[in-house]
Amino acid sequence: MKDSQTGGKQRSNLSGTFVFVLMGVFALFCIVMAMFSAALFKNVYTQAQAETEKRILFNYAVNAVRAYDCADSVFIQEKGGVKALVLSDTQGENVYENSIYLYNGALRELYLERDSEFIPEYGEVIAPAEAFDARLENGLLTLYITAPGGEERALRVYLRAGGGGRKP
Amino acid sequence: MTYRPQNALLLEIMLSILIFALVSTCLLKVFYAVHENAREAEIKNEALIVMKDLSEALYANEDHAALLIKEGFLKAGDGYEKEYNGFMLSVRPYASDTPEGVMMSADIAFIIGSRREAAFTVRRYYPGEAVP
Repeated sequence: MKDSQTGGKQRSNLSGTFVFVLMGVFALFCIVMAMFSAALFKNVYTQAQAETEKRILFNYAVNAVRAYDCADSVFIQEKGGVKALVLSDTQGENVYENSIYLYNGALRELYLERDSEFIPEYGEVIAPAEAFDARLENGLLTLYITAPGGEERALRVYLRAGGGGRKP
Repeated sequence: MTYRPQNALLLEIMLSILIFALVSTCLLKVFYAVHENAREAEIKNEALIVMKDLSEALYANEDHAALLIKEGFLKAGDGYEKEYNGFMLSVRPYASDTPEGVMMSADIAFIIGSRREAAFTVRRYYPGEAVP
């Protein structure tokens, strides 16, 4: 009688320990799973964000050039100490210039009336970038853009209208 | 049959672990799918940028074959191919002669694995000399 009571008590203790260990393992799995999911989500989000910024950076200037592709409207000019890709636009008697340039670690855009004072700080940030350069030869505009990670890209746009660009 | 509260607790925990394991598997599958989608989107975006860039270069150059060789493309059948990171670009240039001039065209496509994902054609007309 006494032996069966001791055996039952031992089994009960063992079962209690097993339940406790099982709960511990369960809690551990929960924590690992939560941490793993959070890390994966962060990774995917960061990757998507970087990809979006890269897409904006590599497509914005090219699409802007296409939008402004008229005779004598695309040229490269040094403005306010920075080399800018200038896209000019005539509205009535006024000529406006949309300048795309690199300033303070970002590709920027500044839309001004021609002959207005060009202050690079005022430009609106398009996307972060490390380097930006442009070259126009025989109507083929080549944009050299370096993304924040160091990815360098040469993007070409052939200017269809008016023989392609003009000298400033 | 005797009722033991500890057995019921054990059963409950084991059921919880089972459900947790199932949900974890589903979650991992979802995250993996999201990761794969993001990667595929990145490759497609890259491919489109490269395609657009190449189409502009082809538009600007009369000698498509020379340009493609210069760009690192290899001759494959009646076209040219180049492997990039995660995708392949296939270009098939051709010219159509007319009495008034020549229409230079190039079919550009990007392929992921064996799947042709997107394609478009670049065309430029080069007028010939005036016919009397």
